[in-house]
Amino acid sequence: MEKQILFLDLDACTGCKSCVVACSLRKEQKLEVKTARLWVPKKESICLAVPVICEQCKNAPCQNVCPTRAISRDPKTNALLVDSQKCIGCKECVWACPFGAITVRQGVAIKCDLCDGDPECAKVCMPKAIQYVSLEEESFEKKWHSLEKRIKALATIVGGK
Amino acid sequence: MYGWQGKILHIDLTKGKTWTEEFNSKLGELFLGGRGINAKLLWSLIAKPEIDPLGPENVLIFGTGALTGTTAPSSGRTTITCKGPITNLYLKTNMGGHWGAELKFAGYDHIVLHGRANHPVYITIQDDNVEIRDAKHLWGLDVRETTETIVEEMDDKEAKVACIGPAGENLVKFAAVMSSVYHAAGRGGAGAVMGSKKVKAIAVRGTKSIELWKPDEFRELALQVRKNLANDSGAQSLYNYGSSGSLGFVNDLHAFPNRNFKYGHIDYVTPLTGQNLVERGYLLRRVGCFSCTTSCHRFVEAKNGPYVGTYTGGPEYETFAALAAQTWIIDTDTVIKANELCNIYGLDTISTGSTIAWAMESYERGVLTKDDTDGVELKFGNADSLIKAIEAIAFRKGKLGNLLAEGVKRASERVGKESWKWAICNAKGLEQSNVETRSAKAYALAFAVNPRGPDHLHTETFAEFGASPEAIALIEKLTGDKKWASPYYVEYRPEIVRWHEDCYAVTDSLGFCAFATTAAYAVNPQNMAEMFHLATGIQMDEKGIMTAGRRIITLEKCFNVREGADRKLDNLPWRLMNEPAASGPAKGMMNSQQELDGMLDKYYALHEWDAKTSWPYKETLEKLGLAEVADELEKLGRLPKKSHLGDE
Repeated sequence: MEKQILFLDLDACTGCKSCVVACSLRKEQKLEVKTARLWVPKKESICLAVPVICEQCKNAPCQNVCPTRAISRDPKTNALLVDSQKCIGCKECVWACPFGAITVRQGVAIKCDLCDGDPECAKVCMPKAIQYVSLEEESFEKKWHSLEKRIKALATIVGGK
Repeated sequence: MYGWQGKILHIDLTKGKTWTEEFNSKLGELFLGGRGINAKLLWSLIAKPEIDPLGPENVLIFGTGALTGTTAPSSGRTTITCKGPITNLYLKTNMGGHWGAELKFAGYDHIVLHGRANHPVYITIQDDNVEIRDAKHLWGLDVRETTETIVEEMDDKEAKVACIGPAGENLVKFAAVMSSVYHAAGRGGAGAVMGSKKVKAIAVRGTKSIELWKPDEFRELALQVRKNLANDSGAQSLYNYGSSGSLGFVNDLHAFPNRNFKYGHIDYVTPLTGQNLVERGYLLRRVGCFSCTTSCHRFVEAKNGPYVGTYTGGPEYETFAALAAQTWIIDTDTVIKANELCNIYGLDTISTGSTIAWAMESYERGVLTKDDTDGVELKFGNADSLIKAIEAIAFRKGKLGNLLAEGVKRASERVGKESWKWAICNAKGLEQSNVETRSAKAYALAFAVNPRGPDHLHTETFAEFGASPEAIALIEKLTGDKKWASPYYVEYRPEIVRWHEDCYAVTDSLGFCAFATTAAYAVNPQNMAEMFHLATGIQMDEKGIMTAGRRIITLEKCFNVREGADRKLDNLPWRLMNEPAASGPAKGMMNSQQELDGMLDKYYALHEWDAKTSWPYKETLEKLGLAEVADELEKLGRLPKKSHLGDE
């Protein structure tokens, strides 16, 4: 059976940012936007928001560029995990990620680890903009379509004029 | 400190100085946060009655909820408190959006604006870096332009802006403070107070953390409450169709006020419903305030006629009622345009619609002439005149703009000719929100005693309609019998009102949305107390938190008592007390003085307030830990003479 993934539905996202604070509460035991493993940029004049989170790429640029091989794949969840012992905080992965889904805090890269198969962001998202689901191979198109839409929205929001 | 940041940011605009005051958890235990701590600050900072609300002695206080910034559902709201320019009494007004959470992440729970700047300024807060900046280039811009300009200047797309539009600058009495562009702290004229201080905007960016006492337990409980709220039937309707999703139901009861409260039913009401927004493709997106599971806010675009392409947040139930039903312009696209103008000019849609409806009736009766309206054909149903009137008000243009910008009470006093009889405000002066109180008796009582004037945003008693299983269960809990879940009874209304006002005060003080506690019921006093306890570490149960709510309400009442208010101000608009409802199951019903008096007597008795003056007794205040307030009122001669103990 295909591993579960975080499926993001732009049309369902209301921009409430519950996922952001829920993430930091789960991972850091406090409410803090900057240590959340996802972000939700928003353009308020057109009420458009888009969740941005690690896509757990099959051929992952972050993993490929890491000079210390600190990034490995969790065989259980398929999540790309950062080994904080090996990580030297060089930010190569931050630059390599096409989605902006990795940050470095206190000298260590932090990113989504799918909460070991129980992702908090999906649990708090009542409009189901973030769902933790199994998608079979044939729904590759669905995943691609979702990604394409989100990237366009992201360009509208952060792209400036 | 857990839960709160424990910091109040003071900004003295006269002197150009800022400083931070720390508060301890005792203040939080007594007044919770948000609206509660705001009320305490207002009482202390305005030390005497009868100051000018638009003068430098007034303060403008912003307060985030104790749980704002957390995963508690729908907990991101902000309360603004000051002495109000319409009523010259206590004013709290509340807004959603994302500004409050951002303020909390910047490290502050409250902001107090003191004094008055000598030229237009705006304030930027980036964590500990607080600046008062020149706003010459922003003065005159609308809310959307102001927000986008400031976000660009701060070079941070995550900055959140609360600001006023031209209406606030021009001291329109019912100007709103707007945040996240389309979220209004609309009622009562806080925008005019901000304008009088010459503050265009407060922009905030925060990167700090909020610590909780028991983070994992809080997370588990908040998640459970989120699920409960998402499963509540009222919340689901709000998500699907917004606040105007219930409009058709209210219209079926002939309780949807229109044409300045002369009628209660519209034969073809569909264009004004949330269902119509969805089904006809007006709705572009459902929008969530910070940490909200319900996301009732709408983002819409006009599709037909001269306003094609107009986009805005809204319209809400109240906006459909005020700008469409009351003016008799039953057209979705026109409402969207009118709503957009109110949002970007920074006007309260309720007072705007009410004032224009009053003017339309006055014009049709010949009390206002074409000379008074600067040539505008101000008639019910004339869409063009609605748009012209909104622009006239926001910019105080001409005779019409200057008259209507004062609100219905002052406008009707100026015009005379008994036009106060169709001015839909009570003795306090605020335009009534669009609830047919003649056939909803708990609402009638709640509106009469609301310290800021007659509206539903102090005590929302929607449960009395029994429109959902959850509402019926609540009425049964409060009265012992579900048969009282009907708005036509006067029995048990004081009990229903009192529970809801305590609950509403807690709701506002923790940062929750009233829709989560009194339209949907999944967030309730018990789980609010538990979440408060786990967030702050302060022992709290249902009884304790409701007592805090009562303390807050009583202090708010005392602000008005200090200003000289008494029982005479606890009434309803003349039309609703003297002209019966026109049609339907409620035909013939009224809010007579006699009926209201019966409910008021019981209500004051439940509060242990004096029935004659409506003032709280000394013992009542002392029991709530408000002894200092009692002392001050005693000095002013505003404590009732006889104690209720052993009285009669």
